[in-house]
Amino acid sequence: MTAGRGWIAVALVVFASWRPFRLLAGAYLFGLVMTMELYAKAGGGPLTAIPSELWAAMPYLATIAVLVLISIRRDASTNAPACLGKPFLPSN
Amino acid sequence: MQPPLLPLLGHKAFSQTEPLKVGFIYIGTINDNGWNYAHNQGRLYMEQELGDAVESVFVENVAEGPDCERVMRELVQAGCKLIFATSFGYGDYVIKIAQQFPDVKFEHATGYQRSENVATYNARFYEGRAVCGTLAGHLSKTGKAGYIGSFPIPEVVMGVNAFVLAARKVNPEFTITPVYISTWNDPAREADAARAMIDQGIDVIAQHTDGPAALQVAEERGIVGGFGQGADMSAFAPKAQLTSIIDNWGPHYAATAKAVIDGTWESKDSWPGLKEGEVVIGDYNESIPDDVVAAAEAVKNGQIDGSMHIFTGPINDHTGAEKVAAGVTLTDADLLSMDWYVEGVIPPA
Repeated sequence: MTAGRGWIAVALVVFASWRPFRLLAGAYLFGLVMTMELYAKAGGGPLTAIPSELWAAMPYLATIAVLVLISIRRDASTNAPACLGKPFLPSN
Repeated sequence: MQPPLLPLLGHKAFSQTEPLKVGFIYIGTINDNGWNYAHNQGRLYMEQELGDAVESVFVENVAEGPDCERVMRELVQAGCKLIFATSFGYGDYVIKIAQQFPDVKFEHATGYQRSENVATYNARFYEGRAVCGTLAGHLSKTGKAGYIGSFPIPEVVMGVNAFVLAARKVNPEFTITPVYISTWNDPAREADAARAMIDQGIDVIAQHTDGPAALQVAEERGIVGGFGQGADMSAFAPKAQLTSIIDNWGPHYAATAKAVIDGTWESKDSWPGLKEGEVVIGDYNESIPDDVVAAAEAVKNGQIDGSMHIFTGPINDHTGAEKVAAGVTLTDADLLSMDWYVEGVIPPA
């Protein structure tokens, strides 16, 4: 469905600490890296110095790196919306 | 509308007088205006030709993986006696499920594995590629074409090679850059690949993916053009579509269903092309000069009457070493296992 972009989307949200403008910038960056792979394959000058397989893997490597970094950062949860994951109970 | 795809509870035993139920699985949607659309047109043609003798169901968006096995099993349970699996990656699963249902006939498109009740069928798309390549050789200003491929399988490599061989007969300096995107249908990626190519000076784009996304980019960027693949895509790119390779599966579907009804079906490989009308060259863009159209028609007609075969030597591989001697034509077996590029292909990094 998402052509392998689902986890990237999750990582992006965490990466951007739930701030929409950071998210936009992050999405742009990931999009750029994904396009780089195609440019490298189409013979785009200096980009071909890095094998296209590595370009293809880069968004995923970045995702893993971000998820690892976020999970070892102790205050990560402070950036998340306060009610994230809490059930909505009108009586409270 | 097709009947709902549910196990038919209380369904009567399959008798001679009941229509043959034919199932189709598609990798994309029938409105992709390309590969899947063409298969669905073939299904409709079959229904029209055989009338009450057949009944058909189809399932869209069936991924090439374990899930297609489940879908095929459901089709069998819904009473299908003939199933067309219309994408390359279904192959292994077709073979597997065919063993479990020996009384059901399976036909796998573009595949290479057959068994007692599994046949394969394909069309000689490379013949159409040779016509497109001729147009590209004449019309391209930069002498550089791009080819958006799904996976580097023989089917696709054959198309890349046929295209550039034909183009180099016109312009010996012509080159082609294949870019593989590892999917048959991802319009965003097809479009990105097309943009990347155009930014590198490529002015003709061919694609071996399912939709018109690359052509739309070609139209937007105003390059020399591209080609419809599977079906006529001029509605998406009236200026950029130079011509199209139209897949005409209908006659094969009708003949196969007829054979199953008559009990004459057998497992074989069917690989017709331009001559039999399974591959059809669409209308030429009116912007193309008459002499170029005539050159393309000559290539088309040469392949129809058998006087020309695009894979006749001398052919060098991409390193310049001779691969096919002068006057020798590659056999079908050579084509179906093609794993090398001809001269003029810039292999992917």
